[in-house]
Amino acid sequence: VSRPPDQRDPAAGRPAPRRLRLGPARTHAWNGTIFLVVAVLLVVPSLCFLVQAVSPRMFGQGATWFTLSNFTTAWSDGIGHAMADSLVVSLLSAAGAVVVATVLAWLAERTTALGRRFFVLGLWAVLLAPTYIVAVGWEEIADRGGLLSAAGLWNSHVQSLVMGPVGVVVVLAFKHIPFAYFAIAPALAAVSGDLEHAVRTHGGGTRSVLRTVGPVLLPALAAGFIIVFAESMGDFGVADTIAATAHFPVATYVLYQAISSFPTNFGVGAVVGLVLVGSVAVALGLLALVQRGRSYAVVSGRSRPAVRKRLTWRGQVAAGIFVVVVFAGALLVPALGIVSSSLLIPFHGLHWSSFTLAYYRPLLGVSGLGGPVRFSGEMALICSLVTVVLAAVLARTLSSQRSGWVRGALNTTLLAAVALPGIVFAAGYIFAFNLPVLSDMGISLYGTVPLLAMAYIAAAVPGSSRILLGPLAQVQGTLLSAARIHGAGLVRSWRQGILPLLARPLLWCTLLAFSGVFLELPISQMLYPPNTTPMSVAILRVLGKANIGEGTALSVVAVLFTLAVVGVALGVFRILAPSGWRTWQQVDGRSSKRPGSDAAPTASVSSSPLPEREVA
Amino acid sequence: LGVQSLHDEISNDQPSNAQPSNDQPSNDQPSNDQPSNDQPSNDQPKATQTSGRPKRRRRARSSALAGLVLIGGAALAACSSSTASSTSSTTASASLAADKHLPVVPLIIYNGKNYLPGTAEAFSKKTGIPTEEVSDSTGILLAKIEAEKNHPQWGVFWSDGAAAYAALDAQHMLVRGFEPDTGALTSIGQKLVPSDKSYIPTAITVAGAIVYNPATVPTPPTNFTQLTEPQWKGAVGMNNPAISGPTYTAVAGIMNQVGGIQKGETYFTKLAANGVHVYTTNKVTLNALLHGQIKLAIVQNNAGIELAEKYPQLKVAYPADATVLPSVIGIDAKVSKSEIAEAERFADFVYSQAGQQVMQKVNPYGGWPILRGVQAAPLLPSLSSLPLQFLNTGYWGDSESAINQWFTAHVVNG
Repeated sequence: VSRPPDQRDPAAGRPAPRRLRLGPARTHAWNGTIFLVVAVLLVVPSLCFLVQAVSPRMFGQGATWFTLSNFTTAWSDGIGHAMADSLVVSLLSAAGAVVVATVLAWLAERTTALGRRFFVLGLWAVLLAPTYIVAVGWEEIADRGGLLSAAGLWNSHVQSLVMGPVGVVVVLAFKHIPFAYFAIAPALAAVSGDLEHAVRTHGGGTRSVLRTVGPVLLPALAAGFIIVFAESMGDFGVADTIAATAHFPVATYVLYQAISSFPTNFGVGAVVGLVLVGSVAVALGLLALVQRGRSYAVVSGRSRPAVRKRLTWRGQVAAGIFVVVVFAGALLVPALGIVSSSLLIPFHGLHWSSFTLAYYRPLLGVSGLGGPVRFSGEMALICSLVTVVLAAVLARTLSSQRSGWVRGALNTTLLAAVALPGIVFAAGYIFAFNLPVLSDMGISLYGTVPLLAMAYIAAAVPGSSRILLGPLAQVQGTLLSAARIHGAGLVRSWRQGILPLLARPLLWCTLLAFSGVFLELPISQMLYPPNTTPMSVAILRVLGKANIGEGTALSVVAVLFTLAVVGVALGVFRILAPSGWRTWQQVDGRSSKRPGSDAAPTASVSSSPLPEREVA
Repeated sequence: LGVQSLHDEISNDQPSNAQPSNDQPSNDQPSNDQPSNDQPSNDQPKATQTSGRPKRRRRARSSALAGLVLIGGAALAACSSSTASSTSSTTASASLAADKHLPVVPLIIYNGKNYLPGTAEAFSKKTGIPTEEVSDSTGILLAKIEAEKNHPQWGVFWSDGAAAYAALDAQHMLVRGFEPDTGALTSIGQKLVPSDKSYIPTAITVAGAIVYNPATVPTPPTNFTQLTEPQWKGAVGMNNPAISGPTYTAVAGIMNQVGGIQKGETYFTKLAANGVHVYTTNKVTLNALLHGQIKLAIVQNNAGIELAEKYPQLKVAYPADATVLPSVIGIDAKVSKSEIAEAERFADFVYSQAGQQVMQKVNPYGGWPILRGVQAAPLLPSLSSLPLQFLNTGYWGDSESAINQWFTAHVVNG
């Protein structure tokens, strides 16, 4: 299970998937193109920002070519304290998310829990909601004048809990459960019956099963932990809401403070960015060290699905309570908070007369709000399509590369980008693409729609490529080869051989990118061209008028719009897509739809030990 | 990165602060003898998005050239030369506004004020000069301006707070020596004009007013020093001065009032011990007031008035020695002569009666007018009834970073 001596699948005893081989020249050209695109979109802008930690003069932000003073300043600005807070919060939220996701995955994959088919749908809904909305939703529930207060249930201890470090951890954990779930669930499903049957056959009990199966799950658990950790470290939404009001400084808040206060201190911001990337890199390094040279591949076409544990009524009740609590925390409470905030008059109790549509009326009257919706809608559509293509190419490159350095460099770059907050990225784009030397060459991208689109794509690609990595890694090269042998061209081979297998992950990835771009703020704010207004900037203008009711009302409208788009897209897919695209579970041409599968958008049958957003 | 926070930066809060000291050195001031430019100029060429400005032509080509941007990897190496090219001296160009031979280019306005959209539209209608607007919180706009330092993109920057403009002027980024002559400043307005005329005051606000609900606070404090008393324990909320520029001005004003930075730190230590709540921005602070988390909110007066307009149960009080925070226009010294000329015409329009009327119509509470003959909006008390305090821009501007750092360590995180 742990150390295959060669490239053979230990479970199946057959050759590992054959890699698609290109000629050396074409391989170099392909790799070169990939690196060039990644460099322009991700590396150069990020470096342009981060380099200012040591060389502020490089971009006219100081007098010295090399200095370490920004590190000293960052320390005196409280980066040490903030970093410690961030680490504790991220570790706790990652641990919480992994525990919850594991139980949820177990219920979904290994039991007969009622409603398990809807778990994945709910988790995608959690993914679609920006962190800030989840945080504000919780705040609006627990605040004086919020929903609890209106219902006469307000309690200062509850408020202190929600509006403090505990609230930060809870919100981050709830928000990031899907990342952990998508890393753990396929593995939990995949370690299937064989091992368990073997243990049982030899007289082992539940403890023995856990002792045997547990280590096989460790990489997936670690992958889920790392992803949640990275997402929590780089999160800005909770940092700016609950953490900021709770006097609980976290690293991203220090970064925000350095950039948005005057005089602007990009150097200190760059130091914080380096520290954030560094912390995630250390975590990834530790994980890589643990996994070095090991394969946890345990699934093949011959693997038998696990027998689902039939829950008793007590078990169903307990499972139901658990699921309700999880989705209440991740979805229901924030949604209730946001919606109630947009409908309730503060301090008027909870009667029919307490509700008002007053906050929505100004939105209807705002002239030109159609402009932001249309602009962001178009940008989101174009960028999400480009993103998913680019992410698929990158994921395929990552999964098909045999050589270590290409894969390693690409992998590290994409993961480092995940850890960088959006505002760092946006500032980096200004430094990189507003250079006079580019204008002198006739390239003036700064302040244009194409540059904004590039930034949106660059921000969405790292996460999307991680999501697609699992499904793409599972597609064996033999499928393409078989199609080619039977006379299909490359395009047809992909269209008919691969696309049906990846249709759902690609669709969900597109929708996730769509919603991300539609509601994206930091990049929009820093890079939107004059005389255009992205949706998030329009929301911010309403929020800035000191009326949170109108702001939350607009947020509700924006989220409903994205959910409507998602719903329409899924409906169209259900109606128009061939049935094989909708029910795939096949990965190597032999296995068919797994019994009990929920046809989740994730790759549920895994020949790869760490599907989805794991660390490859 | 994909599903990024919508709330990463909030508010219309505007960094910075303070009043100009009139002791700034006057550098290369030209004579201010240009004619009034707020008259309709029928002889202006029709504004088109493609006329004149090389930047616009380049933008049009940019899509086709996007692929070539792949040479971006050379950016780091190239940046040092770009830095060197950015140190040209400030341009004093008072006569440019009169030059009608300059081509018409879009005037790009970085805007932190709520009344720009209508004002810019009226300006374009009157002059035929097209405007392009980038509206955001002043903090974000300043970050953009700093990041664009090597290759500025803005023509006009309009926001609250003079200290940031003084800092930009110190970096030779602003046009000096220009002053609109289409309106006459009041005596208060004249106090706000810097000696080198590097920026143009357009209105004033009060940095630290107190918003309260008379039903819960029948008698609001009349002085900031009262806020450390037990009756206000846990009842006061304010913004973080490191994020909210007007709040820094309010903090500086209080420190100035109590006798300097050291005594000010003592005051804020007591305030922290008395349970002051520090939020990020106006929106959060005022929301806390609205939801009863606090009883008194220290915010910029126009934010409080806007809230009081929506919630009539709220009132705005002006404690003794209210600190003046001016709204200011700055003109970019590094853009083309055409854009500088247009920016000056824009400032002229803002000072004209027509411009003032538009501003008041679009946002009556953007600030007290500082031009003679222009009346303040109804909810603004008479300026003469307020004990105003003008801060020294140089002193308090230089101290901003250190004070914010102290405040963050001892009050925000303390």
